[in-house]
Amino acid sequence: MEFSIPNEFIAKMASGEYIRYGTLIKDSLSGKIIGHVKEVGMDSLLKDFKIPTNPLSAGTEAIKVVSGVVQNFQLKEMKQLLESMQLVNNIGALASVATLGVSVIGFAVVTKKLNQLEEKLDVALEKVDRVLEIVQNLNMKQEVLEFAEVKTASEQLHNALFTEDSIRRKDLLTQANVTFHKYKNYYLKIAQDKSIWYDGQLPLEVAHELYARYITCVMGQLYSEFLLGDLSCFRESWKVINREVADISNIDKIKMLRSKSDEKSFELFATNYDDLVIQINNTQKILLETNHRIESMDYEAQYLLKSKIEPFEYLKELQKMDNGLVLIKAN
Amino acid sequence: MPKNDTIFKRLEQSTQAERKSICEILKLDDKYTNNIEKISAEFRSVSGHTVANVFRDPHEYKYLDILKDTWSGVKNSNYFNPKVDLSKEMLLENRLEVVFDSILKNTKNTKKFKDEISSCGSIYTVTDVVVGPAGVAGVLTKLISLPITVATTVVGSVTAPSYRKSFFVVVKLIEIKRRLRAEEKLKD
Repeated sequence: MEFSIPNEFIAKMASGEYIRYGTLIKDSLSGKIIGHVKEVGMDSLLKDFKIPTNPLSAGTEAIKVVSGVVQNFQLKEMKQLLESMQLVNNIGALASVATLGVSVIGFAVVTKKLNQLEEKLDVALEKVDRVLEIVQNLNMKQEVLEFAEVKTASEQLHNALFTEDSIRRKDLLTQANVTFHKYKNYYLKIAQDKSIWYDGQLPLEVAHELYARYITCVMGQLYSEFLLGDLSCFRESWKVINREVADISNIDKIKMLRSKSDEKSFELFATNYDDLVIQINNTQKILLETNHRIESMDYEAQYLLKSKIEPFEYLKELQKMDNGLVLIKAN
Repeated sequence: MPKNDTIFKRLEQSTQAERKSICEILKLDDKYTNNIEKISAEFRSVSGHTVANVFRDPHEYKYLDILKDTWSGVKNSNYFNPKVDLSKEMLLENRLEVVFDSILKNTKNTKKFKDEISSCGSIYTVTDVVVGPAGVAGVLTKLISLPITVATTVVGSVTAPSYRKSFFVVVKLIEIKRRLRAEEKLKD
């Protein structure tokens, strides 16, 4: 494997010679893939993301933390979007950023955070009437149990990265994979049934929260599949997921705007259209970014297949490196 | 001509929820939510004097005249801005939008905003029907003409436009314009 530091291509990206698409770096003229970006080192950048003590408060704790940590262009772009959406202090937004981190190692960090997320997430959701209604409909106790299952799967994925016993590792990954797969479909169904982006009563930040849960499970499923080492199976799962994510991430902005304004149509001048336009445009950017990142994941699998590298060995190699980002050059 | 005017165009571009809210303001039954002709006729009817309405086509009363009435109401409020061209519908509508924005900024919430708009309608009715003629005649005349004033008030209140309804519908039509403008921005 050939690794190189991001500095090599950052200047070319700044000049427009290279462009980024998800985790891929491409030549802007030819479209040729130059390589893909990976987060490396066990002390992941994501590790420093803190869960705010009060997820609903407008405090700046989380913003400061994010500002201090985000040094690279990928997270920086996401940070700016989330800031403009005032989502940086929202637990789901942090989960989104963490989940959209470019490495499997990043997901291991998310596992640790899920312990904190579990309590905070439900508190955040409970305080929003509409979601409270949804949660009540789904039965609160069931919801807690379901979240515990996702947390268990995350811990299994985390442990799988450290065990030296290959049989145990396979067992942990298989179990985690089944759980993430199940809950990926579960959150997808909720998102589809509730038409999260077009439900005027559902606050946009809550829609982002539900979307973040779905994406968390998507990444969990793909990562566990990846670590199991059956790249053919990984690619099949990726194909299905890629379609689903594209579907839910492809929003009709006008329909979204109307759903929000119609909700307030019985009041006078109640909709701030300037803010709403910004929020909708930013939502689209976040969803597109997520979509592109997942779309570009297959490239990594192809790269490993071509290079005949075992996924687990590949990750072990990345773990040994200093913290930061690397560009893995195309074959 | 009137069937192609701004009222019709705006209603055609409105969503069902927006038309429903207009029907509610006009006290029109829900069954008319999709009936643009009925909404237009009712809006013009509540905006015009009853006697004059008899001699007019249901869609004849011009949006510009309704906007002028609305402007007259606003001009008695604290938000009056004298620099306005009353002959251009679009300019007048834009200026009203600015005034409504100022009212919203000042009142800070939509409930108070509604009260403020409502009071603009009230001021207009009181000023023009009762206080105006009496003020010109002076105090003595006011006393002598008291019975006439009372009669004028009674007749006036029966035949006068329902300014509150009219004002609120104007606000809604301007709001539809704002929504359409936001949609254009999203298309960029």
